[in-house]
Amino acid sequence: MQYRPLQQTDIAPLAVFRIAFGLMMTLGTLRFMLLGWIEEHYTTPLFHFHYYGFEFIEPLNLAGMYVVHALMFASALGIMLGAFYRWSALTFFLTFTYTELIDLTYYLNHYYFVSIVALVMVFLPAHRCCSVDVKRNPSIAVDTVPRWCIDVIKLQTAVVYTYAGIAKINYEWLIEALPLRIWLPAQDTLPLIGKIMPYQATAYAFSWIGMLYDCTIVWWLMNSKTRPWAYVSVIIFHVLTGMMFQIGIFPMVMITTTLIFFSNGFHRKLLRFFDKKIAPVCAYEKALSYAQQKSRLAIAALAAHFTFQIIFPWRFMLYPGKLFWTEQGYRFSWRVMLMEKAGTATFYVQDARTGKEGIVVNSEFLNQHQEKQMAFQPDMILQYAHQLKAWYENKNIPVKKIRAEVYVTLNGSRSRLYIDPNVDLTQLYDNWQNKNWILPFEK
Amino acid sequence: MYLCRLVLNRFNMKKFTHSLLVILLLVVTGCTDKTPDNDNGFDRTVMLQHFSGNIIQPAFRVCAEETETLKQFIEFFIQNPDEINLKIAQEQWKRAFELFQYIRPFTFGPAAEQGVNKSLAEELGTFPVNVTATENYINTNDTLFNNFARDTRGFLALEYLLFGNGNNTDVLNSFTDLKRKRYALAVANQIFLKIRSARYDWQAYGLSFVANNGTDAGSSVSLLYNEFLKSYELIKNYKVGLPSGNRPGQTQPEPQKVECYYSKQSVYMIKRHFEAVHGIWLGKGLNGADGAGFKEYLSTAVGGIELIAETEKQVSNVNTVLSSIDDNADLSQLINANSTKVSDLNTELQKLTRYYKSDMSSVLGIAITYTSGDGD
Repeated sequence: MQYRPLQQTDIAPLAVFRIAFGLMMTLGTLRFMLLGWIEEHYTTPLFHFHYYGFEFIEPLNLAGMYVVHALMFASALGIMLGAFYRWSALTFFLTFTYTELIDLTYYLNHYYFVSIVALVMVFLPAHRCCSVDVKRNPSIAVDTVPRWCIDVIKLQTAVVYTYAGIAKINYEWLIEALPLRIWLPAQDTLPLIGKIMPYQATAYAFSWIGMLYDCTIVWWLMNSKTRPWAYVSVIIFHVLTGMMFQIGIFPMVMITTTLIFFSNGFHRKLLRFFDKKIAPVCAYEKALSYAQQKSRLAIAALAAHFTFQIIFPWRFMLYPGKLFWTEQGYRFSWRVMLMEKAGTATFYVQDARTGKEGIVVNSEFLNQHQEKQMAFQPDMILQYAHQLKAWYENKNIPVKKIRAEVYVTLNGSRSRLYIDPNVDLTQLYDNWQNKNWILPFEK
Repeated sequence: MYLCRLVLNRFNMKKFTHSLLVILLLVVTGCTDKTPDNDNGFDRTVMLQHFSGNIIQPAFRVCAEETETLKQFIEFFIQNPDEINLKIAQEQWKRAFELFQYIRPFTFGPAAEQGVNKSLAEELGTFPVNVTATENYINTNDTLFNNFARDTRGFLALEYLLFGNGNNTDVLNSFTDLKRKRYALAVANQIFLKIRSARYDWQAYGLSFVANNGTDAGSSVSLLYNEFLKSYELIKNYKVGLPSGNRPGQTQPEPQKVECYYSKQSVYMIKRHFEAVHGIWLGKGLNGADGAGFKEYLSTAVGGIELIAETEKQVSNVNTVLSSIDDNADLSQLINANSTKVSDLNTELQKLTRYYKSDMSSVLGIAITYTSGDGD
């Protein structure tokens, strides 16, 4: 049997997904603003950690950042309502991705997921059913779309879960139940299940179930027989992790995203809740007749995207050493909540005038979140050293050398030296090559 | 797609669940007794009760009492400005400030920042004193403290007024000025009022402090831990590091930036402050009552035992250096004389940082820094 991406299918799942995604993003943006994070993340810190290749991205001033977030909010609302949809999706993608690129400190896999989905949505006809755009211009309404439009969301979700699951297949996670053996005892005040949290057996059970859940959930969701139970487990899994860890709106995003796996009929029923005029049964009348050329282009682009998605997480194999320790090839690979890692980084700045080494007080330059993230990630350590050099030289303090004594603990191990404490960080530059100044984890 | 269907159809759900359970059982029984994790967990409520009832509230009470006495002695000195009364006031200042070191790390709840007021530790413990600005407020008879110049009031401004250049005759002469008398009394009064109000607020706050027994950002354990760490870093960075000239860009030491520059009590107060900070780790208060602290908490965590051993070793290194310096030694002079004891103290404090900082929070799984932003 051949997969036919152009075969027509009901638009309902796509419309529901659009509404749900728009709603989550609207709430997420509002939450971000109300928590005062625009100030804390973007405008208060003295330094920002740039993404490799995006060094030119800088935050705007406070008013500017509020305008960006207002635009983000409005465009998320636009996605939800299906109003000026393509422009809304594009604006949302641009504003969201811009804010994410400002500071590496706040990198989260689910923000990466949101950026990808937002970009994909720009090219999906998700507004052609149950939307303000259809109300304004009924002629654009369709009942069906080519099936790749739905499957692209499913496939992206499958990539996220499966890679998150594969990442859990490692000695620490399965055999030592780390880091859950560290994290769970701190959760003993949870209602109902709090009492079992300090037990080792609980950590083992959670580790194994978590791995099996992530690896297989997509398959259970795809099979109509197992789907209702699978979805119940989705809800339980994400609500539980949402209660235990500070992971923001991520649980809600996944709970709503996985609805995409439900049947067309299910989505039709959901849509009728919003719009009584939606036909109870799909009429399969007006197929969205994408120009063949357009669809081909989209499919080719998506093929490239998913090839990247499938290959990129394996790049860590090209680097020597322990991935969790060096973090070379760690990001953008759906490695979520995999390890407990923390560091203390002391930077020594040598004054070219006196030759004396001064000790940097990190809290004078970084907020707590930035300092914590910097202290165990080599590229951030390097960037910080360069920013310090620029800052001191700007203050007319000539810098001869900057070195850092960094101690890192991984999964409860005794902390040990992380990088060569004598290497002059100002003489090193970030690139794709192996950072040979990272000391090995093994003693 | 077809292939997937096939696989799924052939897949026996029951068999799968059974084998899963067997695997789980094997894993769990195979690993349970291998490591020293404490399956009973750690009762944070007991720890919080101990801190509230035996450490924090008694410290606030004694400090409030001693600052009230300080205020009375200063009143008395102002009415009878002779050398004996000055000395009594000076001694009482030392006593009160010594006790302030024991409430200093508890900069949350009633002692946290509130509106325009900074934390109690900052409001009353800012140093070095801005002498020019202080003299200016005195001369303009401004005792309202309606400004943000915290370096013109609090314990250390009072210290400047009471100890001056170290010559009591000069101090007595300066106190012939009515404006100076008023200012000194106002400063002492503000110290007393602020500490008293924090003390009484703690009586109500104590209940919610104990009840908030989680580990997330904003929980009592995370507040306690964060302020413990900040207080330790205050000693390292500002009481010792900065006056020693340890910062990048400092071309020479700045001994005039030590705490207690005028009373020469810097070393003694550092010792008390460090004792208070490590007391939090130990779960030990002023009266010596040792109960559940972070040490006991750590002993139940993965890797905790090893961390306790390393921490205690390094703390004893710090204490060795500290006890090699005389209580009454003048820290600013030691710095000026390029004393190796000071550089040793800097080194040993620096080495302690990681044990208190990343190692401890990581092992305990406390939400330390994610007060802003999410994790994943």
